Amino acid sequence: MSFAASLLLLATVAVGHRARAAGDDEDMPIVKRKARPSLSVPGNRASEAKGATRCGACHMVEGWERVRFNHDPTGFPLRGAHIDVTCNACHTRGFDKAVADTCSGCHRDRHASEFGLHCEGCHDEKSWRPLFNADAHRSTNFPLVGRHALIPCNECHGNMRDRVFAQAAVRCDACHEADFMRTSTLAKSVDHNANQFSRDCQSCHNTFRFFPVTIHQHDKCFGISAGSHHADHCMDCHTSLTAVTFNGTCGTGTYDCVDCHSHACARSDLQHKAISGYGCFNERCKGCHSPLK
Amino acid sequence: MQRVPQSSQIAFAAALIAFGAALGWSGDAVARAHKHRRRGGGGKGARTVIVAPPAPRVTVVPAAPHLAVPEATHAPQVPAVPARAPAGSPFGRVQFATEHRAYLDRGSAEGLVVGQWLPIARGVRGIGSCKIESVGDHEATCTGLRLRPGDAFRTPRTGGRKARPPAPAMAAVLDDKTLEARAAQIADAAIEKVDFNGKHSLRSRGVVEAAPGFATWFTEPGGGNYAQERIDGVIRGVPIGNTDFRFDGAFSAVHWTTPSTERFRSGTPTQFYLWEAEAYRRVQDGGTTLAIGRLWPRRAPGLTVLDGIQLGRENESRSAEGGVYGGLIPTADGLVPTFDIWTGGLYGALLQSGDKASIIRLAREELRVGAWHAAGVGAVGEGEGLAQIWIGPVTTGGGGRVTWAAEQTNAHAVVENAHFDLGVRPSLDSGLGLHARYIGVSLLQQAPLRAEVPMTAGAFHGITDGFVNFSSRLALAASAGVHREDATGRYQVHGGAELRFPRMFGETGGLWFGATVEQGWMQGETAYAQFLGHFGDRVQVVARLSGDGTRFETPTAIWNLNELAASLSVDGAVAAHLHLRAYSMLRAPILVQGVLPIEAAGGGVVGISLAGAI
Repeated sequence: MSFAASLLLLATVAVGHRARAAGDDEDMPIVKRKARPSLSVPGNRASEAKGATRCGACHMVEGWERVRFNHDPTGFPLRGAHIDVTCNACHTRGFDKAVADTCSGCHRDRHASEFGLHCEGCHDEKSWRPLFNADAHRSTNFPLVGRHALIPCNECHGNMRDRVFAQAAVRCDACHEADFMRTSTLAKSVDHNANQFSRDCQSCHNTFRFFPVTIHQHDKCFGISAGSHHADHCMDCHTSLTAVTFNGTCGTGTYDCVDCHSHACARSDLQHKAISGYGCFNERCKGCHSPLK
Repeated sequence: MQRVPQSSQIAFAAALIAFGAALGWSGDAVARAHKHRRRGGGGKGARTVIVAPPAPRVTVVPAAPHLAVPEATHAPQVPAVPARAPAGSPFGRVQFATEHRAYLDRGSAEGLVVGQWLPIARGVRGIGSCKIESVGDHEATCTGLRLRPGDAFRTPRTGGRKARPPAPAMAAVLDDKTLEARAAQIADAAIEKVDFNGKHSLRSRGVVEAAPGFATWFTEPGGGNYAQERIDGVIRGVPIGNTDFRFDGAFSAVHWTTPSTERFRSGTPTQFYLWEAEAYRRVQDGGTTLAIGRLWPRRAPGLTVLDGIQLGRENESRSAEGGVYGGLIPTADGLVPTFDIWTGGLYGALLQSGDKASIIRLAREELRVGAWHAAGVGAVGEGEGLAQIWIGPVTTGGGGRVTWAAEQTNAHAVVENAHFDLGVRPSLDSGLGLHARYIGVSLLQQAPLRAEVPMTAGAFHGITDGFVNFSSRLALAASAGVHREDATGRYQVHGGAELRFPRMFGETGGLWFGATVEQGWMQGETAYAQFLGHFGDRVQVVARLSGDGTRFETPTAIWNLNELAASLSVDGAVAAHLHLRAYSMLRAPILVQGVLPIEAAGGGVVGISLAGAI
């Protein structure tokens, strides 16, 4: 595919240069139009003609098909893609009839009316391909931050037929339901469904990565939002999560410090003999040792 | 809410700095101009100091009011056409000017020759030279500067070409009586005026465009990279033989490399989308209209893709049209032809235009009534209307779609879509817009895409925006929006302002500074600065640096993510028929949920496409 695309790219460049070489050097809006031009000449030049038809106001002596007309005074300067279109593409009913000066007045709607008549909110005159990026997405009800700003639009907006962009709901699980469910199959993850985790994913997860997480309720008992335990998985410390309810109670008895931290009571007792209240118990380390270091 | 003043202060401070810089630059420019005049410089060795009446001010047409979508700002305001300089005057004027060319009111009779460099003045200031491109007797064109109507120049002192000496009188070959008789004979003869019958090769032959491109999205750490190779092709208005029929076509071929199974798209890495492939008949004098194939129906609001036929009748002035349509609707994710959904109906459209003295300049109305049938849903009736009107500086319009499921037990009509738009444009230097839309409930029990949750409730979106150009060097734009989703009850409000110095770097471009604030279920702030400039005549460059912070509305809300972002885009014609579009963006988190990332993280997007058109 990439080889074919490269060939097409080269062919396009070649065709473009050939067309330029073969064509007129003019880069102004010299446009070609069909025979029998309208006799109504628009703009200021018509008034200069004082009632007479002044063909030379627009046409050039080289032929009728060559037209030189300054469109700026009409209030609709021709810019971008409009430079290259023929006159009668817009003036379909002659030059004496008004022509819409909004995008929707001339162009068909690809979006099944979802955005009404407001094309210019996303498109410009250069191309229909929009410049709507993550920055522009902040003016919607779903600002793109973190990882969401770094994925293709199609990952979320996949309706190619109607090109509509509305999503069912601005809930995480509207798109991430599959991710929620697949936690039951991941080796180091906690089964979110079995443990009846909240669907407010943003309570723990950030928008850049699923892991590591920040659980503020957990920080009240044992800080994991930063420090050396920040990148640990739940099951690295906990033996089970059946009691994960975040009801403010610490000391669930389901964690094990010494599983990771080497701990021999004979040696620890010696090291802590000057510490009042010390006891060689598995779950009491955090009473003195900050988990954030 | 307490954070709001912080970004506002930052934005305001940045604006003050930029404003100061602009003033400083402006002062430098004036000083340079004076210095230039002292040297007698006019470009290309010109020494003439020209004093001309002040030129009409050119102001900047603003970008689309959406703050985050930059556009070209170099469109000149429409000035009154300056009067021609008196015939005997040694000074000439620019009558019209486009982006690349100026039209002068002096020609070869006043001494202008092709290739000559002509010093130009604006007011009392020399601004450079432009090169004479073509000359007539009393008209000429030149290129090389962005001139404005009213700019002045002095014709060469040597004057124009000398008048030819009168030809020596010759003796009459015929007597006056014979000549008079012949003249009378010619005057009485009936002479048919000649119509221009252009060669077939000179007729519009349509447009063919091909645009290969490549894009990649990457994130580190964790991989998750995407790559896309694609080619888009468009064919517009190509005649089919010597008939009144023409052909429109459009397709995209895409090859994806993705890190995981796609959520919504079909799972195949290579996809082909045929957007349009229709033969149609629409002629200047109206009559029968016909389109057949894969259509993008005209004047039938709400219809996007249809494998079928649209048949109608248009009056001679092309102000009214009505007809029927029918066919099959392809799949939503892959545009695959299918018999699962079929549709048919009637459509009609009207167009009224006033003359120059009319208050109502233009109005249009479109209506469609039809039905579609899908497995699992049954027959569904639908009606959609659209109206738009131009009244002086005001453009307003709206429309909507109503559907009703005839075969459902508790059938009742639902509003699937409604929208209203209002735009006020008292001048090219100011504008105000109001846009509201309602996305209603879908009758489809299953969403058309895999893994998509059906829309079970409506959503409202409203946006207002405006801009003012205080001068060609200073502009202000602002926008605000409100969104509410019925399914979750979540709302989002945002607002922002942008201060623009479009000509801080002269004709090259300028800097824009802006800040936005969001409140609602997702709260955040953004401040940014961007350069928007033009290199060459048709290449636009946008470089942008921004910082933002975001948090969720939760009981334990902390700043979920603080990021820095930088982007660069280049967009323009690199040759007569070749258009380049390249863009890149890098984002890096500074704080993730309030703490520094445990390892360097970031990501970006890079893409390029090159469109060639014939």
